[in-house]
Amino acid sequence: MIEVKNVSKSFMTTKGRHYLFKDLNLTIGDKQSVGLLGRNGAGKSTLLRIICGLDEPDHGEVISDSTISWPVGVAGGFQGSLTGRQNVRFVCRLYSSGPYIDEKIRFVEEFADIGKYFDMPVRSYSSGMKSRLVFGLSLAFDFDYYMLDEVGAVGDAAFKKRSREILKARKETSGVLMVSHSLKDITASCDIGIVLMDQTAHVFDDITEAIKVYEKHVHKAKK
Amino acid sequence: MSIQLPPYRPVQHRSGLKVMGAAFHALLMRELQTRFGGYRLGYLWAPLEVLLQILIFLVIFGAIRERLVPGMNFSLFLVAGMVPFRMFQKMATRALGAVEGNRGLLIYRAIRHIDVIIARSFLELIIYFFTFILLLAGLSFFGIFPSLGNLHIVIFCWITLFLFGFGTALIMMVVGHYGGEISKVITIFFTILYFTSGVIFPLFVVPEPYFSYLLYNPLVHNLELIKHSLAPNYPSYHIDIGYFLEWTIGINFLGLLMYKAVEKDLIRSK
Repeated sequence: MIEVKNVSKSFMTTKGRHYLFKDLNLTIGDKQSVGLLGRNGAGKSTLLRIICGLDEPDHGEVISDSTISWPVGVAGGFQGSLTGRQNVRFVCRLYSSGPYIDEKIRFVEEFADIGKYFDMPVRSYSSGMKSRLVFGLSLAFDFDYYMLDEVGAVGDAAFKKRSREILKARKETSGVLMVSHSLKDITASCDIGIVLMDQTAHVFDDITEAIKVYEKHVHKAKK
Repeated sequence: MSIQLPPYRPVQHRSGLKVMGAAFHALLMRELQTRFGGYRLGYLWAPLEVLLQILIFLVIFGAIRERLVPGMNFSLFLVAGMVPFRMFQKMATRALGAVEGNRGLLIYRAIRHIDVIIARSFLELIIYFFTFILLLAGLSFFGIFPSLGNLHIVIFCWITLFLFGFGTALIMMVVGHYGGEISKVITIFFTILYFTSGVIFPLFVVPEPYFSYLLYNPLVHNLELIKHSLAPNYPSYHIDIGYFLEWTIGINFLGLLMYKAVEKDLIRSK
C-alpha cells in the first residue's frame, strides 16, 4: 500500500511560486493498476517521482511498506565503459543477492535480446538497444509496485509483444502506477484512474469515468 | 509466453544497514571495474603518479637530502608523507563534485549520497595503501629499509587518516554543492596544506614560533607519526596523536551533521 499524506509541491519560477499540488492525499492499495492522468505540466511525473523517492515534496510525506521500483525504462548510473552485463549486475547487487543475481541477469539478457552486445561497453549501444536493456532490467525484479512514466514504444514487434506479456505477468503479483498520454494504453492496462487537476487529485474507481472527467477538463481549459 | 520470467522472489524488506551494505558492495565493484577494467596500466597509475613526484623532488633537493631530515632517509621520508597525504587530498577533492556527478545513480532508492562517498573513499584507501606498500618494497630493493617494529601504528595512522578524510569528504560534498565557486578556493587550500604539512620538507627547518603554528595542523601529527614508526630515530617529541583524533571526531561530527541537514534537499527538485 502507498499512502500519500498532505503532499505539497511547488517550484520557484521567474514569475513567482508555482504550485503543482497542495495537500494532496492519496491511497493506493495493494496490486492495484493505477493510471495517472492530467494535462501537461499538471505534475504527474513529479508525483510519480515523489512516490518513487526521487524527489522531495515541500510538505507532507509518502508512507509505504511496499517495495517500489524506480521509473521503468529510465537508465541511471550506467557507466559507458562497462559492459551491459556489468551494469546489469551492478543493479542486481542492489536489489538481489547471491545465486539469484545470475537468474536476473539471464532474464535481462534474454529479454533485451541484444546478442553479443550484452558483453560490450554500453557506450557502443544504439539508443534502441539501451532502451531495451533498461526496460528489461526494470522488470527483472519483483517489486510490489512498478512505476511507468510515459514508457513509449520501444523496440521491434517481437520486443513489444514480450514487453506486453511481461507487464501483464507482473500485474498479477504487483501494482502498477502509470503515467501516459496514450488513453488507449491507460484503458487497456489500468483499473483505477487518478486525475490531477486544480492542484489536487481526484480518484476514480472506474478508469473510463476518470478518462471522461479528464477529457472534459481538457476541453474546458481549451476554451 | 515467449520468455520465462525468473521465479517469483519479491524484493526483500531489509534493514537500513543491510541496504547500505548492498549499496556499498555494488558501488565498490562498479568503481573497481570502471577504474581498473579498461587499460592494463590502470592498476599502476596511483603508484606511478606518486613515484613521479618523488623522483622530481629527489632530483631537485638531491644534494641537501640527508642534511635536512633528522634520523630518516629522504626518500623514505617522502614516501611516508606524500602517499597518505595524496589519499587524503584525493578523497576530499573528489567529493566536491559528488552530488552533481552522481545524480543518475540516485534513481535507485538503495543508494544515497553518503553511500557513494563511503565506497569511493574506501577505494582510495585501498589504492593508496597498496601504493604505499609497493613503494616501501621498492625502496627496500634499493637498500632503504623501513623499520617494521611498529607496523601496527602505521596501520592505525592510515585508518584514522581515512576516517579524517571521510569526514572531510562529507563536508566537501555539501560545500561543493552549495558553494559553487568555492571549489576553486579549496584546490588552492589543499596546495597550501601540501606545503605546510611536512610532506615535502621536514618541519624542523622552520624556526620557532612558526614551528608551533604549523603544529596546529592535525594532519601533521598523523603523518609525522607514520614517519616516526617507520624510522624510530625520527624525532617524535612534537607529535600529539590525541590532537589528531580529536580533530577526526570533530570533523566527522560536523560532516555527518551537514550531510543530514541537507540530505533531503539534495534530491529535491527546485
